[in-house]
Amino acid sequence: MSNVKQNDRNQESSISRRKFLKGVGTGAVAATVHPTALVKAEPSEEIQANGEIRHAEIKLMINGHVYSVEIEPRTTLLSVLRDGFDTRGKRFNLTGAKLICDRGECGGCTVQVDGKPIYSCMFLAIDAQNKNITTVEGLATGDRLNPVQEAFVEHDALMCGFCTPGFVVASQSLLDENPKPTLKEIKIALSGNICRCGTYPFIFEAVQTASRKMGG
Amino acid sequence: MTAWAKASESRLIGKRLPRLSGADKVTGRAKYTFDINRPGMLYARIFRSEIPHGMIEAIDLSEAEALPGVKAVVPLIEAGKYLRYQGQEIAAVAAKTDDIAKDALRIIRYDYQALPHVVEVEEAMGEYAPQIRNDWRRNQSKPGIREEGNLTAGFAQAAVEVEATYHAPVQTHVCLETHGHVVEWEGDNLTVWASTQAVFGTRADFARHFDLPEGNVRVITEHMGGGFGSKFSPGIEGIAAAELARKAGKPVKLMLTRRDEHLVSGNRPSMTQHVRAGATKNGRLIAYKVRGYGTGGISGGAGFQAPYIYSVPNFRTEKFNVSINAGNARAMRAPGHPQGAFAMDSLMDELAEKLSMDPLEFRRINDANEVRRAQYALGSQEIGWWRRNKAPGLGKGVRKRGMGMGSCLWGGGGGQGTQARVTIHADGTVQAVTGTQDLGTGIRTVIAIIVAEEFGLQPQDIKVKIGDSAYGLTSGGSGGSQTIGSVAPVIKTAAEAAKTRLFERIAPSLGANPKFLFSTQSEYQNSDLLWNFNPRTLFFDNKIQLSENVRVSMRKDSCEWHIHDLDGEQLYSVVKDGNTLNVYQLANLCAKHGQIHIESNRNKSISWEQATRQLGLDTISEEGYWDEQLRQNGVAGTQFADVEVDIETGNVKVIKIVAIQDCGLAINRLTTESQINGGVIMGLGYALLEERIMDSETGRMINPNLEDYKVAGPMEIPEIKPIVFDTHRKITGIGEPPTIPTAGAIANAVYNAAAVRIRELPITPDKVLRALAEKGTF
Repeated sequence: MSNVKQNDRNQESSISRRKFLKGVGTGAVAATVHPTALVKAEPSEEIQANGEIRHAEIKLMINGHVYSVEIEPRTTLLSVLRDGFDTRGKRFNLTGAKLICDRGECGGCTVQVDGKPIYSCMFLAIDAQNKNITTVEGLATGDRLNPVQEAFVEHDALMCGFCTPGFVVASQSLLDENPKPTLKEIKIALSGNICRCGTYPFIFEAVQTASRKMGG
Repeated sequence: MTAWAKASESRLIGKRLPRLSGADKVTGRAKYTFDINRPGMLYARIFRSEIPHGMIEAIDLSEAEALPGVKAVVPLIEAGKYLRYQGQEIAAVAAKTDDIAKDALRIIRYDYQALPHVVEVEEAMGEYAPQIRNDWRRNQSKPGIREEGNLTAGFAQAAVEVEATYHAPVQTHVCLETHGHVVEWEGDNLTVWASTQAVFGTRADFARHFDLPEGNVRVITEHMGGGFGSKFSPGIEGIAAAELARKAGKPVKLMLTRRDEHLVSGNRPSMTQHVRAGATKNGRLIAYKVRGYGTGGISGGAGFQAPYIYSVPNFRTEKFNVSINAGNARAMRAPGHPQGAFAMDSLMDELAEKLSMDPLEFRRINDANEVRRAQYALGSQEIGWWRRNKAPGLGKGVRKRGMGMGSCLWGGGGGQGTQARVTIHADGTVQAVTGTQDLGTGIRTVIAIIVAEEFGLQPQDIKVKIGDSAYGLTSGGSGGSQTIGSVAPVIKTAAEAAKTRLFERIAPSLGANPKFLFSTQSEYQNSDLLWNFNPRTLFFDNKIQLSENVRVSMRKDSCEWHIHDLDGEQLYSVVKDGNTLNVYQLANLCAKHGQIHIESNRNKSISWEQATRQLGLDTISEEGYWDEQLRQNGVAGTQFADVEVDIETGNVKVIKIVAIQDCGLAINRLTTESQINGGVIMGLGYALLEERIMDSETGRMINPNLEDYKVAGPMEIPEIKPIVFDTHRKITGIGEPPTIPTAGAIANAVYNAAAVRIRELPITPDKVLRALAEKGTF
């Protein structure tokens, strides 16, 4: 892997990893980060003496609160939510979003970023700065379920429940944008989510009920 | 001896009730094994072979071990051993973060001697294939053969014959929560959070492997994200996690990746059947012969049902396994049935057509099962069978409609081995505890419903504790649709016993009017009895009614009389108090709507809490027993499919499926419907979408992910009408049967729509178009 050397030569056709990370970080990355020490690239002062990758400290707004987190540029938003800590050492433990396919195929990791549903397994944490992140944990108010969640429970739109947070967030996002969806529109909007237990028919009913409850 | 009340006479049983775990699941509060985070926990991954066949010469873990952040590495194979399929385990790594574990996998090296491989079944059976098992000639197991009657005579009587080959591919489970564990040692005590269908089986496996007393191992599965038959043991990954945890001195989480999951965590074997069958001119199946085989990877397991639910007097079945360099089979939702049913139901339609007979009529002639015959009548009404194409392929236009049907049978009766306990506390709270696990079946809610029904409470009032071996009450694994049949009877009898104890305690406070059934003749039952007594000399607080025959026995030194009816069933206990016997006929008391009252006089009632408060410092805690009369083994199901085939694109769209499933007494109708829906959708995937695709050249799976291994998504979902077919007052499990008939029903519907018979699953557009082209109707 000699990306670094190669890309420096072809400035106009590709962006070196160094430059990419600089741009992406919008200045928040304190220093550029090299590929890992595994790659026999030129050693640089950015790699610490013991070979560990430099971390970057960023701020993320999750469910209405702002947190400081230390991440690697390659850390996904999903990874921060599920496995990450804030800089005070408190675990987020936001395990509602699930790791199922890790390639943006199944929707189990769906969260909202600035009100739009995204696959958090395919979203770099560093790109989530200055954005409003809402996870499934942010939808209920204390113990009270929101209309989508209530409808899911009422219609048994869940079985093992592993895909459920993703579907709840995706359904919420649909209704935020289209309060009176037809059955076909519901299917299309939710086609980015997979359920193996086969709860789809009751999910569609739940979304229709939630739509009615929300005055749609 | 006890029985379920009819659903029509029950408050809760047979109703559509929401799942108790619903709120936790829709808020993300529900914690699965994948979500468990322990202090100091390490993240582990498994390094796997990328070659389909070879012998390990050396493994170099040194660089991985030296990588900063890596805390333990264990080899999972040694030099001289064989790698026999892509994905086989080579080593496991535990590190501070998952990303570092991934980095470590990249710098593990191994040297191997490549060996010739084979990953196609027909190729593996051929004479030039490499021998990949020492004990199987031409990679084939010894065939199992069953014969009955006389085939030659049978075929001689046949007016029509069909000879055909049917094929279904390998299907993977695609559990959304992959296999995995979080493992934590404390001295020689082991706690395991497992994504498993078998809490106690898993405990036994870990204990055995690490040579620990079973009591030192605790397995926890509060929620799990799908099993479908593949999660019954720790697997190599579970043991590896525990070894890493022991080596590193820290808890370890090891979850399989999606890719791993497709490669090694099991599959439904493939099936190829060469069939010849004949029917008489009256439509009776008279002769049936099949030679069938499939692959379960290196190992076996490739059975299939034949001739399944249809009776045929002369038959011969020959079945064997074919070994290939691919991941091994594991039980998958109704093992052997979906593949067998697809072939059999297709065959039935093909024979019916040769006789110019309606396939529904043909089945009536060959299926004596009363339940299914009733289902045929109901289902054909629901789907509108009279609207079906009288001849296949009729109808103008490019999008052609058609209908077809398929059927199934299953067991589902459950068995002994579950321990359960129901506890009533003085503050009115109730607990129901057992060792089972809820994979999404809804057993947790079923348990609450049964207890709540008994106590006159609501399901939310019952705290159900399952999925933890520390509760000390065993239960079997959730497989074979056995869970409800094994667990529910024990829960019911435990609840009844607890209720009896409570009623005995509180009856005086209600001044319950005793009705005592007694006879002038008393028989002495056993040597425990030391008193003669004449019932007429007994004094009672209140009136006595003399009637039925009973037996009375009393133990020496005891204050309790036991009164039994002549079948030996205990009616009630009587507590002796001085010279008088206070008698409380328990049937006199009734628990309903949070109150306990006298049956004949509702004004004499107290609330549940008032009743339990009388317990003072006591607790009532009763274990149940498995009463086989409470459950039934043997269910029937049938499905009707209405499809639309686009003869220009070859696309098959399922419009509607009517799925009628015999469910015995359905405790929770809502979750039962969910199971039926779910089974149908998985069957639809089997019919139209799913297939493990192997590349012959490299010996690897081409689609170990969710974009190219296609499971049904929202756009594929038809209108599904699940019909919970109540046949009797006994419960039975139905996790598996609803997935069986679907592929056959769809395949038959495709034929009826487009006049092309697709005998190979999945029925993808290319197959439809090729068949249409060959027919010349293209």
